Amino acid sequence: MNLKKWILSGIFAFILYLVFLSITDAGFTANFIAYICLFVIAGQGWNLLGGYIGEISFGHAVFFGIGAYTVGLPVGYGLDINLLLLVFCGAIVAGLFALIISYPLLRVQGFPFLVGTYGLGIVVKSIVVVSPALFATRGIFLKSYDKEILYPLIVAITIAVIIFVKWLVEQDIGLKFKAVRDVPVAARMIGINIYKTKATALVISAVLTGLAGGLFALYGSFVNPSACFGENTSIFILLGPYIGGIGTVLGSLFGSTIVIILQELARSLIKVNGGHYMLMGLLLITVMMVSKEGIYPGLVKLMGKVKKAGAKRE
Amino acid sequence: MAPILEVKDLKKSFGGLEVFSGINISIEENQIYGIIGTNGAGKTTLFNIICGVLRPDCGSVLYKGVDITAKETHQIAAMGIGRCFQTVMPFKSMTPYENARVARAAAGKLNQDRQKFSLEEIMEITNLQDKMNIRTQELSLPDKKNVEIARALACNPEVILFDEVSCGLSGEEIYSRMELMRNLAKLGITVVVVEHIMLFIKEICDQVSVLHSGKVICSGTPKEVAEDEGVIEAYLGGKSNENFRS
Amino acid sequence: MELTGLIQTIFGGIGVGSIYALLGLAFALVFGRLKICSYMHGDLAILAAYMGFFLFNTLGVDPFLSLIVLLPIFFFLGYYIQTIFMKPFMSMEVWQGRYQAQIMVTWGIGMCIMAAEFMIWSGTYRIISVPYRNTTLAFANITIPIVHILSVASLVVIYTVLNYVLKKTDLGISFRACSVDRVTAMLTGINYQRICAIAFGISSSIAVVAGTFYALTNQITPAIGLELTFKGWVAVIIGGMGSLGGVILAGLLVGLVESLTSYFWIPALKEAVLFVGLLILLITRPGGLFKSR
Repeated sequence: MNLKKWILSGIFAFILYLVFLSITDAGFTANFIAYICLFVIAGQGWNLLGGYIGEISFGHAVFFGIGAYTVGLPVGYGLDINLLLLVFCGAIVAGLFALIISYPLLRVQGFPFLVGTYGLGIVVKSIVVVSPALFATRGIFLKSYDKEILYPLIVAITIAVIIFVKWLVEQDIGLKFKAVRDVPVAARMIGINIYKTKATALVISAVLTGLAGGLFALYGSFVNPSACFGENTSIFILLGPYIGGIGTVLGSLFGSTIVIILQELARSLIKVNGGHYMLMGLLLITVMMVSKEGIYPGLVKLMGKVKKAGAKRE
Repeated sequence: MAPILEVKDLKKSFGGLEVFSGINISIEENQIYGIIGTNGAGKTTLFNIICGVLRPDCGSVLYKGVDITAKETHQIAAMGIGRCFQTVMPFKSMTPYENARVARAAAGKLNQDRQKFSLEEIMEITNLQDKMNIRTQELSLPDKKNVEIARALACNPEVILFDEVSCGLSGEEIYSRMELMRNLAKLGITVVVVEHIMLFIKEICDQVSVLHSGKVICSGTPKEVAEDEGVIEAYLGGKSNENFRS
Repeated sequence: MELTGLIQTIFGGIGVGSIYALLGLAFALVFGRLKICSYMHGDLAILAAYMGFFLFNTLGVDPFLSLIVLLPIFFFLGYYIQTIFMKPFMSMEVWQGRYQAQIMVTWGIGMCIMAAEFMIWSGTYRIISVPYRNTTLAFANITIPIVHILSVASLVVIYTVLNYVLKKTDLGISFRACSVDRVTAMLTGINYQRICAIAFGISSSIAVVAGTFYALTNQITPAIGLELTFKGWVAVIIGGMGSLGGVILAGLLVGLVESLTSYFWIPALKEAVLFVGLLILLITRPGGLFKSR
């Protein structure tokens, strides 16, 4: 029932976007929307691990970068492979990498996990930067993909991802994620294998983030270490769900959108050095102080209170 | 008949503190088995060892004749041992129904042949059918305890461990739980209870073991235990056993 | 010649490591005992470094003299950050997302500090050019920068003082009481929030010392803050999550790993080697290398 509603609204949003696109002619706005969509996909991926399992990762740029480089590297070596196919390969490679790396990483939880993922980001970035085989700091230029096809594709994939995540967290596996986050001891007591559950979340999360990375390579027609593997990428992926509402699909969707819009606005409006960092920092502090769970759950709570107050008055 | 759950020569100490110095308990199928003991006698530790949360220093736990001492907690749960905690720990961000559903998805799937209730029936048994769609976080303590019971039942267990279910509940609520335990036993689920309240134990248990200073000092029917000199000595400080008889 | 170079590198590593150890000490003090997660001490350290730079450049005050002003300033800064921003999270339990919330708030504050530094001093690399910056002591063929000796010495002093305060004074005793059980400590009449704030202030002051020494041995830029934070946390994790002595050894080890990597291999890979080491450690000994208790 609910799922149907989601699919319908997804199709509606997509049609709206197509109409919009035909009016604006794949210009700046469409470009910007596609850019937001990339981070929405990655944010949804992050949210599966950070929000539903409760393990904060500071290194999702690794999966993002792997996705992007899987698209970029064959082009760099002059191989002629369908780029869209490569995007999906990238997602799978990122997932495989997550599967391997989950073995050391998931042995720790909470704080060491956070530092470990940050370290993973640094390690992978340094390796890419120093190895000529991966084109070091020069990066790889791709031939630009037809925007009229690419932008609607990105939006369609975003909608599909959102619906998929929404569907996933309502399945048994999604409930298991939440169980592991809420009370690990009790989760074990009802027969959940914690390591396996966390690894599943990590892999799905990596696949989605890798998908975003692959699309990013197509979108920018350029991959280089600092744009793909940089800490800033990790931070933007992470900030979206955190500000919007960790552990909610809609919240992290709003969050990613807000973060990217604000970030770009600040970059173009505030001419002072470091102005956008200040804005992000203030936003983060305010959200955490006002509503610990993020904007969306905070709003939902507020609406509930308003409703209750209204009911009382009647 | 072979016992369904057996604890053999169990020893456990935390640092210098010896909790168990070799205890033996054997629990028959379809029983309601009570374990009593003073505070710090190691009742919860015993449950933790049975569930595989803690490892004993020595000794073994047998479930249906299989040694489960070295098994992981989730494997033990999948074999059919469910548990309710003393301090309630429901999955707070989920509704009661989802709490049961996730348990069914995890452990229940592996022992479907033992399924006795559907999820809806479990909700009814535990009096949660009206609150099925409220987040557990917002429920009262007795309801949270019900959620725990529902979750344990959803694992399709053959043995279910209750850790001080009566703690923090009113008399009426305790009676409804006693009723529930009797029903479970009738349906062929072995119930193990750890309790403080004597009446509770005396009322429903078929067999009782008394833990005291690391040993089982007495086992038998509640009546036998209540009249055992050693128990009276240990439990009531050698005065009288009025509490027992009341 | 080879041997001299190696020994030289080892001493250099210990010197750099003492800065990480100081930062780790700052984290371990509040994390290990009071379960407060901070993500801003690296930024605080860099802020202090910039202030030292400012005082030196405009007024010509020696960075060590400016510590006299900076230590109390940062103590109160930490004190009020704790009372204003961290208080709402102090009553949360760990499983309620206490650490996540604390990380995000302190990270936000750290980001603001970094942005402020960007605005005031821009992103160019700065250097405090004190006369003794390049002064070295020579033993045989080995030269050791005097700043490194001072930072190791201050590490020892701070560790000793902290240990004394924790073990002998009333403040230390109430501090340890808070670390064992929050509620019980409050019931015995200890002002838990105040103890936490004081601890946070002290740890901020330690970060100031670390920042000053960092500025005396490296070039500073605002973006270094987060990096320093992570290095400090690596020291805490290797050191066994909160034991003060373990953190110091781990911090020195971090410095050693970095300088040995630069000596034997590519300097650009020093952080990568460090974190690979951390990952290996997490596999083999999740509890840390020098686990206490």
